[in-house]
Amino acid sequence: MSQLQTKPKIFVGLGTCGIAAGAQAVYEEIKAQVEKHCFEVTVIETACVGMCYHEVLVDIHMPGSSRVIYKQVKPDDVEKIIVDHLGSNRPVLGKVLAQWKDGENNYEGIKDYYELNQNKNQNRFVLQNCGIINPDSLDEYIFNGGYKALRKILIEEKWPPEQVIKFAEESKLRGRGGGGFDTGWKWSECAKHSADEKFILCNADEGDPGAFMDRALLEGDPHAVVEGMIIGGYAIGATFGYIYCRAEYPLAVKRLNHSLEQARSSNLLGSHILGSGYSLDIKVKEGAGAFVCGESTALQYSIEGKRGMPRPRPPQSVEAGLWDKPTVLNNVETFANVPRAINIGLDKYLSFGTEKSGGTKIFALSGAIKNAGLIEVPIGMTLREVIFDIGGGIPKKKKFKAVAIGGPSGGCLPEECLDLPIDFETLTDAGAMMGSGSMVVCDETTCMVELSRFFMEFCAEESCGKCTPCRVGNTVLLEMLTRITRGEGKLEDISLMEELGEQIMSMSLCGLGKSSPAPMLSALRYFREEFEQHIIDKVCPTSSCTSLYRYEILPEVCTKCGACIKPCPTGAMMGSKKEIPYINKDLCIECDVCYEKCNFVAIR
Amino acid sequence: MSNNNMITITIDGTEVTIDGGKKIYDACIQAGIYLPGLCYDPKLTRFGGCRMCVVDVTSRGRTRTKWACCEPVKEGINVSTNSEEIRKKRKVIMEFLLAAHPLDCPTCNASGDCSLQDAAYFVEQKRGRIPIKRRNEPLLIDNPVIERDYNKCIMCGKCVSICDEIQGNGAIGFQKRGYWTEVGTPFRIPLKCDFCGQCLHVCPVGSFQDHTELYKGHAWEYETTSTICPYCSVGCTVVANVKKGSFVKITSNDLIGVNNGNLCAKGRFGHDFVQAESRLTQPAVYKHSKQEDCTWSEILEITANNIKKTIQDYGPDSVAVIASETMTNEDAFTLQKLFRSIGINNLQTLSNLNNPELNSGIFEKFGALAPLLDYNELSSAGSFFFFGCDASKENPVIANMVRVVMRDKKIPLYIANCRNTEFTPHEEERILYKYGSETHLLAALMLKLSVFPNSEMVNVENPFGSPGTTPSMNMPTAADISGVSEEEIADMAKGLSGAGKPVIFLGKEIHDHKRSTDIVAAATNLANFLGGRVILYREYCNSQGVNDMGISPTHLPNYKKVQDVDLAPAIDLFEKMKLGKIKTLVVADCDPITHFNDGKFVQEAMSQTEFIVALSSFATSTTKLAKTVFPLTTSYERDGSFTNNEGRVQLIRKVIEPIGSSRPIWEIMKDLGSNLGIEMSYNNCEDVANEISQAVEAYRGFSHKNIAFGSQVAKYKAMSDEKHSLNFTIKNVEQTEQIDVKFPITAIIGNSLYHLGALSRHSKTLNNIEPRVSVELGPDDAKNLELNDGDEVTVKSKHGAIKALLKVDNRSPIGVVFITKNFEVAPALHLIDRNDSVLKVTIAKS
Repeated sequence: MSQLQTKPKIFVGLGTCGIAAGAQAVYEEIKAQVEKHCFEVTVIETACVGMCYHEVLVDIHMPGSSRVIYKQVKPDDVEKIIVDHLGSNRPVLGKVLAQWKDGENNYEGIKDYYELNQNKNQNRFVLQNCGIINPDSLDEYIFNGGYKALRKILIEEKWPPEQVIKFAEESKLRGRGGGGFDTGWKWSECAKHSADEKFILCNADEGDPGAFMDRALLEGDPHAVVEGMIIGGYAIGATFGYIYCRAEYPLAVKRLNHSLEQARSSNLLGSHILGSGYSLDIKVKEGAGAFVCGESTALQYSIEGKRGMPRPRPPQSVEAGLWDKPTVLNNVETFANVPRAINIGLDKYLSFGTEKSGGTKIFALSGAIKNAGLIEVPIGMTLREVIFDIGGGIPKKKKFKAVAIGGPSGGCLPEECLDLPIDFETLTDAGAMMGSGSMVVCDETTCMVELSRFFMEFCAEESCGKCTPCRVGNTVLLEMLTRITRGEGKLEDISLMEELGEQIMSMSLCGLGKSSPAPMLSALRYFREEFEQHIIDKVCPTSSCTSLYRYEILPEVCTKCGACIKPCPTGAMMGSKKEIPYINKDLCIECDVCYEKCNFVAIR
Repeated sequence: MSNNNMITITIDGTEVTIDGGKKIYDACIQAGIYLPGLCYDPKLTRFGGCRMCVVDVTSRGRTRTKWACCEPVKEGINVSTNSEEIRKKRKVIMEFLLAAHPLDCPTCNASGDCSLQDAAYFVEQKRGRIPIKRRNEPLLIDNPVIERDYNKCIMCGKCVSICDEIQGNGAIGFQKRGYWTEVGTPFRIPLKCDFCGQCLHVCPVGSFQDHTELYKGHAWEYETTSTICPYCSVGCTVVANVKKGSFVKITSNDLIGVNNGNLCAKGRFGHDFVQAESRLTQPAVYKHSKQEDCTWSEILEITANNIKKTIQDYGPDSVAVIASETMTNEDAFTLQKLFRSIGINNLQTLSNLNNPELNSGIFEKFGALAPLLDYNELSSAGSFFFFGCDASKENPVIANMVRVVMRDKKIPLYIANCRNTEFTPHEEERILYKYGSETHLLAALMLKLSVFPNSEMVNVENPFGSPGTTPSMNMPTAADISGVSEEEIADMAKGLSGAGKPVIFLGKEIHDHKRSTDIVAAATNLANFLGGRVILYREYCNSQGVNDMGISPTHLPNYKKVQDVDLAPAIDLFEKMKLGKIKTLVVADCDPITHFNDGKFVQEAMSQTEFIVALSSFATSTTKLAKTVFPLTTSYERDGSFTNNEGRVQLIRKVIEPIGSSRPIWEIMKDLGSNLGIEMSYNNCEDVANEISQAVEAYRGFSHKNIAFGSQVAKYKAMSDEKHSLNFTIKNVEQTEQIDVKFPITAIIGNSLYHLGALSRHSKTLNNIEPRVSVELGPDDAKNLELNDGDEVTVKSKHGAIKALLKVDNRSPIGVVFITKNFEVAPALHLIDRNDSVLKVTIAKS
C-alpha cells in the first residue's frame, strides 16, 4: 500500500463500538483540525479492529512510514496528535498503542501490533481487513486480495461447482453459527437437488447476548461476506441470495447495501458475473427483532413474510427451504472464511484448525475481562489462553469464576474446564457449546443462579411459542429459578429442574428449545452448591440476588460515622453519631442506600 | 406429494402397508393405534408443535426419538409408540400442557369432546409437579357465532392453518411470543372473517366455541345423524347433533362425504330455521276473507276439488306448478308424477323459467360435455380457471377443495371476472372484463389458441364455420368490447395452454346471464380443446335432482323429451298469469316474489291467478296470496335424497320429528292424488326412491338402503357421447340495449356468503351475522359519489328502488356494484326489468 500512497491517511474506527465510545466526535474533530492546520490528508472511516477496550482508535499512516494506532482518543487529544504526527512525523507516544510494522520505516519505541500481549497468539485471518480498510471502498477490498478467489473460480481457473464443493469439504470448514455443521456437506446436498430456483442465504441475525462477531465483520469487511456468498451460490447453483440481517445493526445494513450496490455496478453481482455463465443477485432482508429468526427455518419463513416460527424437518432446507426450493443457509463468518481459504490454499488453511475442523474462530470477549473485544484464534486453543493471555484476565484482582460460552444456548464452564481446547466436540461434552462465539467471563461476584435465570428469561421470552416444551417448559423453569433467587426454592426443585431441562432439550422442535436449558444445566453441574445455598440457607453467596439481601451492620468494621443514618428514606436506620446504628427491619425497604453510602463496607 | 409405491413398516409389532408419501402418524391411524397427538390433522400442513406424538423409530439397528406427525414412513422401519422412555417423555409434555391449561372442565362446553382430556387420560396423567399458571385472559365474544377463550388454547395451530390454507381467510394468526403467545387477531381486533367455523371444528380443546350452542348439551348426550346440507349445490355432509329431540348444533366429520369435514357458515350455523318462529305448523285455507287453520283432510279436499274444477272448466293448461330446487328427488318425482297424471305439463322451476335451455335441456344440448364434474377429478387438474365465478362466496366448500389442490400440487390459478373477486391466499393471473362481453373474451382466448378454422378472425354466428360470410370478430374487436388488452388475453391463453387440463368454474353470474347457454358452450369448447373440464355453478342443493326428476315443461324424468311441447313459448308463465290464463297455480316450497327477477311483476301476475296453492315451510310473500297453505317439513325432518353439482345422489336423513303437523311433499302428493283419483301406492319415502331407480337411468341401483350409491357420481346417459365442438353465438348483451345515462352503474346481483334461497333468512344466527341487503361499491366510485363505508343508500333502477347498506371495497371496479339478494324486505331482484339483460342503477345516500 505504501508505495502507492502519496498523502497521509487518517483512519477512524467508526464501527458501532467506536461510535459508542465517542468516535463520531473524534472524527468531526479530526476533520476540523485537518482543515484548521491545512494538512492534505485523507480521512477514512474504518470499522472495529477488535480492541473495543481501547476505542476510540485512530490510525495515522504517513507515506513511507508504518501505520500507527492511537488508543482511547478523545476530541481534546486530536489537535496534538495531528500537529505532531502529521506536521513532524513524530507519533505522540503517550497515546500510541502500537504500529503495523511494514518492514521499512518503522518507528522506534513503538511495539508492533502483533507484539502486544493480547495479539500475540491471535490469528487475524477472517478479520484481516476489519478496522484496517475502508469498508465502503470496493477498491481497497480488491487491493487487499478481495474477489481474487471469485475471479479464480469463475474466470482464471474455471472451477466447476463440484470442485468448489470438494474444496469446502476438504477444508473442514464447519458452520460458524453455532451448530458446527459441515459446510461442504450442506453444499453438496443442496447441489444434488435440481430446481428452477435455488437460494443462498446468509444468516446475519446475530442475537446472542454478548455476541458481536458478525456485526464487526459486516461493518468492517462486508465484501468478504458477499464474495463468500457468491462462491457458495455458484457451488450450489443458487439463483438468488438473501442476507438476513437484524435491523438492530443499522450500520451493517447500510454498509451491506452499499457493497451490494458496488458489486452490482462492477459486475460482481447480477447477470453473467465477471463475464462468466453464472448469474446471482443478493438482497438484504432486515429482521424484526426476533431471536428465533436466527433458526434456519424460522429465518426462511421470515423472509417469506410469514411469522418467524421454525418448522419440523424433514424436509431439510437443502431439499425444500425458502419458498420450498433448495436452500443453503450459512453464517456470516462461514461465508467470510470461504474466499480467504481459497486464497491461501487448502494446506495452509488446514494448518490452523484441529483434526475435525479447519480454520480460525472469532470470539467476542465480554464481561469481567480486561481486554473486552473481538479476537480470532485457531480452533483448538485452550480457554485459559483465550481468557488470560489474550483477554488479559479478570480486572480489579478479582477471581475467575466461570465463562459463559455460546450465550443462552451454551453453558457456564468453571475454572477446572479452563484447559479444555476450544472446539465443537469438547465444548459440547463439557456441557457448553461453541455457539456463535460469545464468551462472557464471570468473576467471583457473579451469582450462577441469577445468571441461569437471566439466560432462561431470555429464552422464555424469545420462544416463538410453537412447541410445548419450549413455550411452557422454559417458563416453568424460569419461575423455579426466580423462586430460588428469592429464597423460596425447595430442595427437590433441583432434581426436577434437571429432569425437565433434559426433557425440554430432547423434546423441543428447534435449536432454541433444544439448547435453552443448557446454561442452567451446566450451572447445576458445576455450581450445584450455590443453588443449595440459596435454597437451604436462603443466602446468595455473591450478594447478587436482591431478595436475599439482609442488611446488617458489621460492628467490627463500623466507624460510627453516621453517614448511613440520614440518607435512609424510611427512617429504618436508627441511632446517632458515635454509636453503631441499628436497623429496624419493619421499616427497611431494602433500597440499598445505606450500603452505597457506607464508606467502609460495614453494611452487607 | 404422495408417491404411489406402497411400503411396509412395523408399529408395535403390527405390520402396516402404506403409501410411501405418508407419515408415521398416518400409518398409526391406519393400524388403529392411538397416538395422543394434538396438533396433527391429515388435511393440514404438519405443524409439529405439541410434541405429544413422540415415538421411537428403529432403523438399521439404531433407535431414535422421532415425531410421528413429521417423520415420513420408510421401508422396514420399526416404530414403538409406547416404550417406557416414550411414556415418560409424553408425560412431561402433558405436565407442561396442563400447567398452562386451566382445568376448567366442569365449566367448559368442550368437555367430553376434548382431545386434551383424551390425551391426558391416555398418558395416565396425575396431578402434576408443576404449579398451574393461569393466563386470566378475558373471554372474547365479538361476533355472533365464534367465542374465543385464549386461556384454554394449547397452541396446536390447527385453526391458524385451516383458516389460511383451506378457508383462505388468514383471519387469525400467532400473536406475541413465549409463554404469552396466543392465537388470534392482531391487536385483538374483532374477528372479521367468513364465520365458517372451521376453527371450532378443528380446535382440540374449548378455545374456540360455537356461541350459539353453549351449555345446551354435552358431547355424550347428543344423538348424531349424518345428512346433507340443504343450502347450496356442493352437497356437503353435515352431522346433526340432537339432544332429547331438540336440534342443537351441526358438526362435521372429515371422513364422511364430499366435503372432508369442511363447512361454510350457512351449513354450520344456518340450521336454526328448523325451529324458527316463522315455521308453518298447521294447514290453512282462505275463508271468511282470511287464512284460517284447518285439518289436513279439509285442505286436501278443497285443493283437489279446485284443481279438478279448473281442469274441467278451463283445461289442463290453466293449471301450472312452480317448484323449488330445494325439494328432494322423491318430492320432485311424486309431484311431477301426480300432475302429469292429471294432464298438467306446465311444471316449472324458477331457474328453468329464467333459462330453460341451460337447466332441463343441458344434456340434450351438451351431451357428454355437460358441465358436471366429480370433485375427485379436481386433484388431476392442470390449472383452475374461475370464469365469472366468485367461488369463495358462492360455493365456499368447493373453494376449500380448490385451495387444498393448489396447496398440494402448486398449480396455477386464472380468474376472469367483471369484478375483482379474490381467491386468497393464492396469487393468480387475472383479467377484468366488462360485464356482457363474456363470449367475446372466451372467443378471443380461443382465437389465440387457434381453436377456430381461422386464427385471425371468427364468425360470430358460427365460430367453427368459415369467417367472412356473416359478421366476424377479430382480436382488436374482442379487446375493445371486453375492455381487456390483447396482451392480457394472449398471456392468459398462453398460461392456460401451458398448464393444460384446466377446470373452468362458471359462477352464478354466468348461470343467471342472459347469454348463459352461449357462455357455457364457449367455455366448454375452450376446456375441451385444452383437455379440461367445466363446472357450472348450480344454485340450490337439488338443482340437478329436480331436473333429473322431470320438473320441466319440456322434459320427463331421465330427460325424455315431452312430445308436442313448445320449446320456446312466445310468452312465459308469468305473462300468461298476468293475462289471467292461469287459473290455479301450485307453488311448491318456493317464493317467486322474492326469488325471481322482477318480483313486482311476478306479484302482480300471481294476483291475477284465482287460486294459489302454496306448499311451504315458512310464511312468505307467496303464502300470503294463497288460498290453501300446506305446511312442509324441512330437510332435517324427513328422509330423502339430494343430487349435488357432480350428479352425486346423497341421502338425507330424518334428524328430528316434524315440527307441528308439517309433512313432506311426497306424502301430500300421495294424499292429494287419492282425492284426485290417482292412487300412488307408496308406504314410505323409500318406495318412491325405488320407483325413481326404475324410472331414471342415472339412478339405477339407487335405494335408501344402498348407502354406497352416493359414493360415486351418477352415470348420466348423455344424449350424445361424442365430444364435439359446441356451436355458440358471440354477442355482447349490452349491444341490445340503449345505455341509459341516468343509470350509469352496472349492478350484479348474487348471493352473499351468508344467505341463500328461502331458508337462510329464517335462521336467526345467519341474520345476526348479516342482517340486511348490502351494496358493494369500489373506492373510486364511492369517492365520486361522496359515499362512505357503512352509509345508508338507496339503489335505484328504472324499475324500482331498494334501501341498502353500503360496503366500500376493492372488489368492485369503477362502474360496477354487487348487490346481495334473498332479502324479502328489500328484494334486489325487484330492481330488474324482465326485458333487460343488464341491470343499470344509481346509488345515492338515503
